[in-house]
Amino acid sequence: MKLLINGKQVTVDVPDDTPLLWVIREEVGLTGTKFGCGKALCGACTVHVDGKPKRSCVTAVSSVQDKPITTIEGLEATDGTLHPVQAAWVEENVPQCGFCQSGQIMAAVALLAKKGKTVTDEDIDAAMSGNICRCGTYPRIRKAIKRAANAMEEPK
Amino acid sequence: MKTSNGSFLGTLGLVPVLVLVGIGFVSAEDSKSQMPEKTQASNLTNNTNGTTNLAPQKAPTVDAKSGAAAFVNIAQVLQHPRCMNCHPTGDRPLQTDESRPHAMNISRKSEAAGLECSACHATQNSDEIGIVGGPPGAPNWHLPPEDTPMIFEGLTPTQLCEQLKRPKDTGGKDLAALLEHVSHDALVLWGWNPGGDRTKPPLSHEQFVAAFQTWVDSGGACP
Amino acid sequence: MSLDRRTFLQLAALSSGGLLLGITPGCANPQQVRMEDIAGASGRFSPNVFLTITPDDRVFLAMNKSEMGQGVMTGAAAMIAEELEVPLEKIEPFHTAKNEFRTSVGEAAIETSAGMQITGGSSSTPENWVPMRTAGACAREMLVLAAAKTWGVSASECTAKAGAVIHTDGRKLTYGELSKTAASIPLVENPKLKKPGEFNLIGSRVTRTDAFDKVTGRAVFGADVRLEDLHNAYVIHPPTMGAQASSFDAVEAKKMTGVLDVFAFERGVAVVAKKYWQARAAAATVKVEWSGGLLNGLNSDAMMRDQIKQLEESGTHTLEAEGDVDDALERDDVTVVDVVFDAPFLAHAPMETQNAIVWVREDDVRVWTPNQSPTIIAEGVARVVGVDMSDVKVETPMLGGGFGRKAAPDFACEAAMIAKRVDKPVRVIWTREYDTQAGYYRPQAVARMRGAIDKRGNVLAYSYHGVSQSIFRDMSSMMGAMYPEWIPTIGKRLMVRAGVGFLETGSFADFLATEGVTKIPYAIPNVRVEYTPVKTSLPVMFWRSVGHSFNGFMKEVFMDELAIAAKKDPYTFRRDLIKDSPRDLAVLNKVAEMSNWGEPVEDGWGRGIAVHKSFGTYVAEVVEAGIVDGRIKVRKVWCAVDCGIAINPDVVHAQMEGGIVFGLSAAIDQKIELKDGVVQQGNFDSYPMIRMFESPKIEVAIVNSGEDPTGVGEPGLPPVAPALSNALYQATGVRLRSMPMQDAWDKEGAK
Repeated sequence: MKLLINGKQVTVDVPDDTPLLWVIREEVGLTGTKFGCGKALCGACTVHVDGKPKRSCVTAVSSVQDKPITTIEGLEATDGTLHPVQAAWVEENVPQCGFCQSGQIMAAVALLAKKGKTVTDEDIDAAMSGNICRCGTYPRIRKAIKRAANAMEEPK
Repeated sequence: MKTSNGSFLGTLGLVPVLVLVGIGFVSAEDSKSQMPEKTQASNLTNNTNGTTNLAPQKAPTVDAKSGAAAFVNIAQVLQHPRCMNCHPTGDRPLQTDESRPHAMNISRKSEAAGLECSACHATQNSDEIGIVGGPPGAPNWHLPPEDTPMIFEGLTPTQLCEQLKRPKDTGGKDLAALLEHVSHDALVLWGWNPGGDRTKPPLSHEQFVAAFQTWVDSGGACP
Repeated sequence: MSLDRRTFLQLAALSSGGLLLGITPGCANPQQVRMEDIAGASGRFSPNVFLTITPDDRVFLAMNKSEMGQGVMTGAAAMIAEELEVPLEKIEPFHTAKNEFRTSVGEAAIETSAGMQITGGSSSTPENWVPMRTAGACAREMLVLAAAKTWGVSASECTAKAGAVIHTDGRKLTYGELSKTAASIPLVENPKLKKPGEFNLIGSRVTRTDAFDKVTGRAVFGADVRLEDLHNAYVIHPPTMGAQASSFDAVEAKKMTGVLDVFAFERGVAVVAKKYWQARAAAATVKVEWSGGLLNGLNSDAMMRDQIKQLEESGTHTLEAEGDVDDALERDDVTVVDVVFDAPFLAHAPMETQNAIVWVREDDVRVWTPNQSPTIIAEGVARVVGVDMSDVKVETPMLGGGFGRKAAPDFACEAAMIAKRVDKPVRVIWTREYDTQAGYYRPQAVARMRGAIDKRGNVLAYSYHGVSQSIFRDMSSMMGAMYPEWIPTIGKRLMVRAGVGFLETGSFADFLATEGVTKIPYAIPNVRVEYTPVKTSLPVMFWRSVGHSFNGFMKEVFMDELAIAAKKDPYTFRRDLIKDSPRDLAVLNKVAEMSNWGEPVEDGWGRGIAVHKSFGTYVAEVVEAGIVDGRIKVRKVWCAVDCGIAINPDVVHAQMEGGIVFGLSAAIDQKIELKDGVVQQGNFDSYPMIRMFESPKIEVAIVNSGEDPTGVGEPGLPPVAPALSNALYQATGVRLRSMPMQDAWDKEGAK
């Protein structure tokens, strides 16, 4: 089975119904995507498929063959420059334990791809409430999203 | 235990269907006699005044009384949680057999903000890939669009029926297109394969399509 | 506290060898990489167990405390960097492997740990405050001496700055360039530490040392550790704690791809496969019959009724008694407030479920597990495997949250039980459901509180009788029921650590059960605090802020009730009663000022206030809340904190924010219930968390008392639940004395 992850094509040999999360972690070896609940209840496993957020823990790998998949490791520019959302996360000192943050960042990137500079608190509540942070970094996530929005260009 | 319960209820499901057909017939007559159509329609949405119903494309082959009776059964299906939960009055989908507002603050605004239903609702029920108790799924899991919300929650059968006949509300689908939709759309079909412990609509999909056919053949007679 | 020469020699000897152990080929853990970097660097300078400077100018900080989000690495790095005179970002902290600190620094350098390496009790910052700065200062002075020696000048002509030593004439050598020479300089015994006024880094906003790794997916948590030939075990756990698999059918599972073995063991049925999902998929086909169990059909509701019934009697232990409470309560001219509070069992639910890798070879046992105490882990695993503790090496990856739960060794012991039977490194990752159901909960607690107020509104009496399970007792007897040999040792260690040496007497009064309601700052003449322990076979454990998590709620709601009974404003009532406790008073006044206390609040909304000291840190909070569509809604929280010198102010803010959100999840929604010995909650649908849309605006202010620093991981939590209850009383007139409060509101308020 062929997958397109972070711009690279990889071939994996797993049953069709294996959750994408475990393929990414165990077969592809990208461990930034986390297992938090296994039932799409916490968002820690969020990746992008076709640019849209997906809870990889409930996504059968066969359903995303040949679709572009982006994980947290794929957000940085090739020269190592952080994505504006990642940079904002650092500037606001968002992470505590950090376990949920890959998923939070993937959700935020999708939010800002839609809303850009126009992002409102209501948008943040609507797009980010599927991601749990047990450490309670929500106020900082909110600030970081707004900071990143200001650093981004308007959506086309 | 759960599996056997499910199939037990499934078998029982046939019995209420027959009962409901009877009840529906009576209540359909009642509601029709009590409320003029226009009043009901105006209760529904604020853009229904003067909307002309789609003219039947061919002459009715089923009498209005039978068509209206069939629609009462259709309404039972449309207002079952499996169907109604994604056809809510507001922007928030509903969940479970209690039709509670969806957790996680999910609404049409979520989709507009980049979080689509399909983020969690995959193309098949989670159970099918070994995630017992995970979210249900079917191809293209989504809410009706904001401008044609196709509300099933809180309406009378008559109101539901009128709504289905207003092309403005159906996104231009005529009765034949609606029949096609309920017969083959994967998301509609999911209602009868909901996975987990989720209950199924009171009619089988076959019975539902048959009732829909009857209603369409009546020219869309409303109860 | 300063490091004496003997200790330093030990440290020096150890740092040249001890830290280098535990290198495992094929391991991609950055900590390992760091250790290899250190090991591979000839001419490195390791003046003590914490610090290593390599010739290529890298500065490594071996952490004695677990980073679980509370910012302990950033705090320690700031302490070291401040005295070492290097930019914070030069410091590379990593969790050291266990035992070095325990056996070598131990009592001498980190006295309060009593020979244990453990992270908890908001103790890391106060414990490290002197040792870390001393370690940095020693190194700095030795580097200066090394530069002076190199240049043949007097040390007084040299200054350390920004990772280099500079001579008055402008010559400069970096620490890396000096490392080899510095290693030959005699240890500096009593370095000169900076005075608070001289701090540059301490007290300023810095970027967390772990931020970059945590936003790029680079941080290595437990399940991210990679080893050659690593296998995964999926454990099918019993429905009730301690039940044993009497039989199982694994015929189909054993045929599945990647499956190595399926066997029953003490804690369930293990399905061992190459990959996690292979094991999990195979486990779904295994049928297990269970028998027995430890909980004897425990029912938390019935237990609660029994606890409340015991409130009718006096407590079996009296922890505090001043004046004559009974006399004050029985006077004719007083108003008596007599109320009962309750709080449920709670699970910690860190985002990272418990997990561990154990690799058993002869007398070399390796463990990789995110944990709060490598010592406890090592001791537990050693007992399970049947080796000496010194044969167990524990590596600590990043912790995806801990909150107390990761101080228990059960997950590592479980992996060890399996690894014993598999000749490979084996990893166990718990499901979210089992993580919630595995016990070691915050105790279910009830208390009766009584107070007497005279006609002028003076509080004459304060009485508390709490009935709950004893955490300390559980550490010995409950866990002991499962692992009879090893727990008592750990229990004793904990006793030593806590300064309580009489567990075995049986008349031990658990001060954790009453912490937060004893030694209250309010000036009340007649005080009595009683406690009655109850016993179940369900183990209880430290849960973020421990006894304060329920006692703070009970005490501060009770004070509010006294204020109302005295017809006084809840803020001024408290203020007048704590006027002789300046640090409590300062945070209380500050939070009142921040929230503009007393300004009108719109209908349907109310504000509540609470002040509570825990772990040496003083916190006051104001909550603005109401009921919206039947649901408790918290709109805003103001928080004032005095934690002494705030080493990383932004981390202090973050910990207050986090404590508040964590506390709100518990205050509003969370509960663990048992029916017939079966835990009713599982994933985040039944054990919910506050989410973004429910998260209030939070405003934090630090009140700087200039005292030595105290911890901040827990103290933000206790005041939020009572402030919420007090706010809801103002909003609705309904007094909620039971957590979770949404349940209480549904029962009482919605009427």
